[in-house]
Amino acid sequence: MTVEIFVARASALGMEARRVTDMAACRAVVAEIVGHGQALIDKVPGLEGLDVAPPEDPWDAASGVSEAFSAAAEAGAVALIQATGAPRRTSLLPPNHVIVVRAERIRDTYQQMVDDIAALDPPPTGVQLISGASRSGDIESAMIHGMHGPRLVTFVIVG
Amino acid sequence: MNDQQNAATTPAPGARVRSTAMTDAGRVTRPHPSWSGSDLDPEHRPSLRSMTAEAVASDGVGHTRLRLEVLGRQRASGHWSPWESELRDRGSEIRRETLCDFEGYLSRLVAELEGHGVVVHRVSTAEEARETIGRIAIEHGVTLIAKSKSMATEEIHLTPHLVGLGIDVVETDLGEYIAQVAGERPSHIVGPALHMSRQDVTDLFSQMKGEPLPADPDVLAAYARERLRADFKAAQMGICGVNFAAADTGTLVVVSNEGNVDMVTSQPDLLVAVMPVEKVIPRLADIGTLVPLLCNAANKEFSTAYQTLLTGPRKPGETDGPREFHCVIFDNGRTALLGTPKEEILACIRCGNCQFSCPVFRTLGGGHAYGTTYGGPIGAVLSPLLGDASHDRDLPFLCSLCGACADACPVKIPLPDLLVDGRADFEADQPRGLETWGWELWSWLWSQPLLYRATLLAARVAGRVLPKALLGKLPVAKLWATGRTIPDVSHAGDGRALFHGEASNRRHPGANRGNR
Repeated sequence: MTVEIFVARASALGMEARRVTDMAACRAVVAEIVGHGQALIDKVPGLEGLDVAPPEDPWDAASGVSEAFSAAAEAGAVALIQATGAPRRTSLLPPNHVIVVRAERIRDTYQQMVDDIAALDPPPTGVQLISGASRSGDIESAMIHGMHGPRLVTFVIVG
Repeated sequence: MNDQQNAATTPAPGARVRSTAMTDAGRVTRPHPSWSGSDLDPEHRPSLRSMTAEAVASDGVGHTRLRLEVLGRQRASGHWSPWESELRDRGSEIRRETLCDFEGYLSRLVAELEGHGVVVHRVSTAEEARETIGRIAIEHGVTLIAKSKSMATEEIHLTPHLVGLGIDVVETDLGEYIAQVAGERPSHIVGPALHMSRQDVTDLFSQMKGEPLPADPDVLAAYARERLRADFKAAQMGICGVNFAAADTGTLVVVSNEGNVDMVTSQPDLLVAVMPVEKVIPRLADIGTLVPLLCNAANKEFSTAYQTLLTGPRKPGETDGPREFHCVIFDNGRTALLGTPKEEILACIRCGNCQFSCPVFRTLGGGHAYGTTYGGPIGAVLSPLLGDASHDRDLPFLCSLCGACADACPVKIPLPDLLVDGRADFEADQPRGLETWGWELWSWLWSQPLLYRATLLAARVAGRVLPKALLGKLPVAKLWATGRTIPDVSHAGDGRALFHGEASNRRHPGANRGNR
């Protein structure tokens, strides 16, 4: 039920959500979304060696692929943790962002996701909590997507 | 290796990186009143009366007021559903808990930040804060700063100071960028360009571009995006505000929808986070309550698209994030409020909901006519208490005491009470003129039963003998009668019989009951 709520909330917030059974299927979906364009790909177990070109300048990347550390169904939100092999720019610079979410990592509430992060010792340098594509309502409250960060966010839920 | 990695790189001398986004902003000729300008000198601002009179008479204010009213109605800012009420209760408690041991949490925060390698500058005044930040920029040879939205930096007048040092500073939040290009201050805490229409933004950007742009928000945003992206990439220093600073982990939390906060805090090598003291919260886990509460009150959403959690500069092996991380914590009059009823205002989480709820704010077309950084109910309470704000002490009068702000406040600050207190403070500071003496004399007169009856008798006689036209011309009555109708005073004091009756009933409560 938690996963279904997560998918519903994510869709309501304008994100794509695709569910696959295992990492092999996830790998195929990610490869399909990313295509052969330039991509920033974090170190995600099971996604090594995808056939993509790392861009010369990260600002030119077309896609980014990250893995969620935790997620919250009620908020349609995920938590990304900055680490070696998982820089913050992956989720930020490319217009298209793919996030691998393992089903067992999806918690019911936002508070539970925050508790997962608060329990980390030492605290990670950077954490991004993401629920939705980059957006702005600053021109007469008209909603604009892809303001500075990605225009499209896709969750690939594994399990 | 580590040393090299942990020190922000200083650009080669002569390499003067400049802002792309602010190029040709000089072409903009959109007129605006002096009091909405980003360069408003608070010491020499016009009187409240003239600013507000000009605001309600200005072109386009009706349009803005309507927009604010629609937004206010859509948000139903004083209504809290059961789960929202629960969130509000928890959030209010966390903020009060912080106030109970303010210094304790603040020292813990500073220790944790320093433990992570953040350079903390705890300063007292706004001037010290902006000079500290200017010094950091100059020492690192910075010529371009990308800034994310922060009311705290507005409060300390940071941007004009840095620009004065020859540094390009660019606001990267779309609304803030629009306001910056127009040369104006933000008109609302969370909607800096709420006072501008789509056409206003179109005109602004068209002037800057030198050719007409369509009045399409997507096109306008794309234009801003491209220019700002160049600055994100080139900026040597980032400046961000702080929404919550967790004392237990030394983590700074910033919310945004656009992603500009993530850009500013992860791409430049040097980062300065700016916060007033009251941003401290006891535990990181508290954002589980405070973030949804803030986002709900500010924008009627569960959470913003991004919440950025920052704990120290980048570690070895990490490939982005600031190499050098400073945090400027300023006071500007706040800790002096601790232990007084006014400390309640330090619970504020800057959602802007009180501004949406306020009929005065809406009628004025936003916060500019308050002549300070913060407009609306929060501004009318907070501004007079900050630093040396002797010129803002009449702000609590921009209020009809309707109480909507108290209902709208997510952390239950008794704003109307504080506004009344603010008025009392203002009055207490006024020189004792003829009027003060007059009221005191009147108070003394009516405290003497004999004299009280004598004045009533005089009024009755005057009301019967003198024609109304003449009554209105008597010395003190004349002031009162300007714009009002003189009432009939020929029966002055008749109401007393009523009061006497009531008083005797109250004295013998059993009597009535016995009669029944």
